Amino acid sequence: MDVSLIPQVIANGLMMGMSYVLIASGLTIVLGITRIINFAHGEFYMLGAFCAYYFFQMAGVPYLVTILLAILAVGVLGMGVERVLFRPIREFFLPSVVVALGLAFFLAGTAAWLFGPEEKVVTSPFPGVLNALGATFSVERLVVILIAIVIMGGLWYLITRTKLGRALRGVAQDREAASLQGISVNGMCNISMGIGCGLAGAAGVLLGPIFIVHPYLGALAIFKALIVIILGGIGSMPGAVLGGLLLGFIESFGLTYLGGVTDVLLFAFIFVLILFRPGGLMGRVWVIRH
Amino acid sequence: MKKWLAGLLVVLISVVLAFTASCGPGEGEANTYKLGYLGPLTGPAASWGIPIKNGMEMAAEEINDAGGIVVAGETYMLQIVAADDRFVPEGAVTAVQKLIYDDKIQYIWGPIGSACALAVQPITEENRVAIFAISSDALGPEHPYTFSYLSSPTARAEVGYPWLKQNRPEVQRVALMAEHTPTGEAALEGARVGAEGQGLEVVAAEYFEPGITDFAPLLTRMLAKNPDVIDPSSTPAGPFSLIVKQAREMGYEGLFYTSYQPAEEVLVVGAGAENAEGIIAAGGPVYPKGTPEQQAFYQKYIEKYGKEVWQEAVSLGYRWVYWTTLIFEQVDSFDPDLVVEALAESEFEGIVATYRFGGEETYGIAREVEGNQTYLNIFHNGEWEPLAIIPLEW
Repeated sequence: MDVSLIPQVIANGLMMGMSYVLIASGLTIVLGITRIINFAHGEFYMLGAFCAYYFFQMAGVPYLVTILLAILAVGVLGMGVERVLFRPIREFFLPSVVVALGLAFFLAGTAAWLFGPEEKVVTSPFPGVLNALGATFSVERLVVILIAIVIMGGLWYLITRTKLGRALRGVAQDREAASLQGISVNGMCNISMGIGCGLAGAAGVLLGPIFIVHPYLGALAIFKALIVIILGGIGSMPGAVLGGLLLGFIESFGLTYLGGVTDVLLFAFIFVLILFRPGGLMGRVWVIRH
Repeated sequence: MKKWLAGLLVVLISVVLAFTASCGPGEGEANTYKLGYLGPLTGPAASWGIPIKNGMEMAAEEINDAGGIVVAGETYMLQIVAADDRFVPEGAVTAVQKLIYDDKIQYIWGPIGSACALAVQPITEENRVAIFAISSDALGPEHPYTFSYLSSPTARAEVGYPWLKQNRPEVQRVALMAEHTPTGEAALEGARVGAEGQGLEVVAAEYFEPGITDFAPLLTRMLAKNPDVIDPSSTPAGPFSLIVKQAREMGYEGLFYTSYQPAEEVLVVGAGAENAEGIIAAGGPVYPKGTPEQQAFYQKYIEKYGKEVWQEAVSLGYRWVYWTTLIFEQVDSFDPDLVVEALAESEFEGIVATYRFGGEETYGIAREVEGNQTYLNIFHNGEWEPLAIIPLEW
């Protein structure tokens, strides 16, 4: 084991982990409040990445404006999807799974038709590297981490310090009790979908210039996001942060020191974790009611 | 009333029969002969398939404009029938059934990739339909109607190392990486054979899962071995550009070599022209800077269809239509047994190279296309430049 690599491995883990946090946080909000596993979350992430391509790369819109546009556009689309597709079947677990999966295929196929199937690349808005503490940091990744921290901070403030956040938490904890307190469950589900999809859009627009953009990138994103929320705890925001960072560090250390066997060990770890903590590290156990 | 209806029916049937008869080839008119394209036209691999199909249509149009082909005393105009397999085996099976049973096609370019080729092979072999796939895994003496129409990843990966050994003496330590797919594995092993055959040391050989975009952990592990060259073998253009960008960000200053030349625009935007400077790639010619014939061909293609991401693909289907139809005329028949044997023994002089089917030692049957030369290109100032033409031993 080459210990001289450890600073770089930590840097890699942090950068990968924050990417996962960004993608998974929106999924966990939607799941926590609507109780729907939004399998199309990766496709909302993909649409955010296409915003980076079309607004920033092609139209020359300033990058920060592009981020806001992506959050808004994808968030509003998510609210529309909740109102039309998810709300009528929200109480039915299996139909909601089928609808969410169908939506994922629909969005990916439509994107391939509209934008073309080929891979697209986005010029880095923050090129260059920074050498510090024995590791090399990509400037654009550092900026993504900073923006992600700002977004997560804003989300934490919204959920824990505002009236809207209390209402959202109320619906997540007990819909009937929240409803009796005059909170609109439909409204909160709609808002949570807007926030969740907006976060997916933010993840896409931030990570688009770092990676590549194509209509099918949602599949891997949802896979990683599901691992993160299972690790961290279903429906738990702190759990999404912990799970994302944990996955990033496991992958970084594992792939550097162990190579391809990392995925095997990762899933072995997840199996053991679920056996002893079925709700993940910071979540609670979910039981499907028939 | 009934008599009136019966009369009307007779008149209608007569009109329909007369119309149908008038639609057939009349005296002196040409027949139509259909050739099939089977491959991705939608989905993530569409950018590979579309230029191949376009090239086939361009060749068919040129041949038709020149009067078509004459086989057994009859003149035939060519028609390309394209079927989309979406790059998935079940799509390939559905598409090949349509081509064979509905369109009665006997010769098909495609499919791309071993998964699709192996899926359609039982149907095509049983129906004596020749396929010209991109897959060396499907070749064998028990499959006489199956050809591979691109040199194997193993063969492609080997070609650049003798040149590197001779012209870049600083290259001693090689790091290989590839997607964890059959193609990736073949390419990595080919590169290993190529590098070790020249006495170079392979200091790292790593696989990564398709779809991953963050190569930092893998590169950290590889760069710790101080390679002089990184060869991501068969990695597609998008992830390849990410590997280049991320490796440069991690301080790697050495050479990149690949046996699959990525598109310029993907490299410039994805990796950055500065990061991509000096990459060496094996593949086809840089058409705009090639021979007058290559330039004219490519100019005609892009005027008709626009610029393609996979430049090497534009001549694949084009060449196949000319080569196959030449054999039809030579044997004066469309009979698959005659045509397949004649093709396997033929040579075809194209604008990229002279081709034949080889691979008898490896597969027990000569069904893998071989060119007599390959091209090495270098990325310079945001563009591919011709570097060397490497003659291949036949």
